Amino acid sequence: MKNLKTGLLIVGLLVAAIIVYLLFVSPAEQTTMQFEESDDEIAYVRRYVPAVTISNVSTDTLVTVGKSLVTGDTLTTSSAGFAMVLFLDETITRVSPSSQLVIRSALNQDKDMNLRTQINLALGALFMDVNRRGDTEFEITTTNTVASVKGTRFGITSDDYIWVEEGEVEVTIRSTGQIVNLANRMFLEVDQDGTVESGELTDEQISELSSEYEILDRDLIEREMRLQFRSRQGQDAEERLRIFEQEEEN
Amino acid sequence: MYWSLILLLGLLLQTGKSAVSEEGQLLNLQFHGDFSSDHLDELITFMFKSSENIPVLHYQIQNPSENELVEYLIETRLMSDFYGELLYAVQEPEDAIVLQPDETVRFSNLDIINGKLPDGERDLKFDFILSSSARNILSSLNAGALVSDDNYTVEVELFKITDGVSKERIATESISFETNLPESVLTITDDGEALSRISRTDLRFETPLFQWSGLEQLMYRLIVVKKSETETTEQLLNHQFQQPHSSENITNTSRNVYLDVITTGNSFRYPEELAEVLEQGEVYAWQVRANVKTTHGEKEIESDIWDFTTERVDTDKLTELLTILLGTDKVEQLLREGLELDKIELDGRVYTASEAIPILQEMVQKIQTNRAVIGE
Repeated sequence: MKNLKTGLLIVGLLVAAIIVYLLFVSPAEQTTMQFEESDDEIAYVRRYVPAVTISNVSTDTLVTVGKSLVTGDTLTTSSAGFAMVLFLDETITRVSPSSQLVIRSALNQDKDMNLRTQINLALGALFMDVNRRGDTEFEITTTNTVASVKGTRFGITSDDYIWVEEGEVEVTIRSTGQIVNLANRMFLEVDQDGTVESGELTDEQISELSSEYEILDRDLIEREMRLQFRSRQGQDAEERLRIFEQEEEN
Repeated sequence: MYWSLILLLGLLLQTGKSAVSEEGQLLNLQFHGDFSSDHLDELITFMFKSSENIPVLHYQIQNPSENELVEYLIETRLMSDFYGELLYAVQEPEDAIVLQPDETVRFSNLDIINGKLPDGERDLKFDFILSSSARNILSSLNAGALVSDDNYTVEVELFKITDGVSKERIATESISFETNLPESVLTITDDGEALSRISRTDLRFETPLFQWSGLEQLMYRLIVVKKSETETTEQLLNHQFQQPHSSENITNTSRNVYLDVITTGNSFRYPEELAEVLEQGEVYAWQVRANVKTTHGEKEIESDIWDFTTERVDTDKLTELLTILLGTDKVEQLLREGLELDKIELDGRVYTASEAIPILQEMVQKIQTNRAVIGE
């Protein structure tokens, strides 16, 4: 009997330990979504400033920028590249230069709506304008955070800085399992040692943070500027600039 | 000879009266087939000198009588519409040409120079007078003068000696040709491309290069003046052209004269060592004039008055804008190599450095307000 009690206690402790682990120690795994490989279009690149490349991890095939994205695609922007990705549910992701992200999404039966979407931001930064309905899920994972989105405009960097312009974001700190809810105008930063700092942003700070992505607010036209240099000794040199400029408003 | 090519431009129009005489074809006169205004000097000296041993004039005299031996005398005049008589050649009675009945004799001026008719037996002698005008023409041609517009006439009178002593004019013939100096030779025209190049000179890279079209072998006087509010450009230029040229003082900025040089050829680059005399953002006018020697004397020719503007470039502003667009390292590297922005091309249009500044400024502003980005 004593053995039975002891056995039950051990089983109970094990179950409790598993529950604790699942709840607190390994929350990332807990929130990881599962996606099946598919060629279905989940989003497309609406605007971009070269250079932007997209490769599918599973097929490792480079596809032309501007085409549709499928689950598992990796989108990379160069040091001068910007991209604006539009999902089927009209969620907009603006990608800043020097970024890399893997996008996965599961669609509804009609394949016209993103039910569950996950962006794994490995490098760089994003600005999200999520159009989330009640029955859909949208999360962004970074090194040490998982941001579950509830319909909002917010920014996030791969080194775990999250700021909210409007709406609400639930952030899970992967190393500690701590959950933090960020509301309007709040920010959160997770250091490498897991220390969390959060607070409120001023209008100027929000404006500064979001301004980087304004280039993607309108369609862009590409212009080439050739700068020709001369010296008094008759030497010549030329520099070429590719400038992506917002189209003028009509 | 310098002018040989130019002289070819001279239009030779030969007109000759037919050898009409009271008694039929007694006298005929013809220029040699190759004769042209290239050989004007040969015509003037045709009675006594031929440098190229090519005939200029052919005479033909005929004795129409079937049984009478006739003594003929010839008088020849060379006249210019501009100068009047240039040459007068006459035969004395003892030098008369005796023609047998029905005989025709042909000879050229080379035979006159040789003093014998082509049969080599009969003498062919003339006395001649060369006018001072003729000597002046020969002198100017030797000095390379251009042949002016004129009409030259050779007039020949044929006399028959009658009664052994008196002479009776029996035929007259004249032959003439026009010389023409095309107006284009006497003009200094612009070289359109060169004018366009100089129109906006950027003194950071080079001094202005003046180019024009005109006879290359002339001595041109080139004067550059800065436009003034108190005097017209014509007044400034005319005043300076009226001054004797001084190679010691090729500028006189107090009189708005920024260059006064004499040069050969059709181009002149503003001296590098005087580059600092020219000012940025100013409008200058320039003109070239030259004296052309012609057989009618010296003639002054002049170009139109042309303008050029020196660029005013705010190099500090330019460096500031380029640093934003290209980055500090790149701009510093360019400056180290002595390279400065010359022009930009945007949407197929080319802008000078000064025109580029507002364009670059606008572009920088767009970048700074996130309305434009520079791609790779």
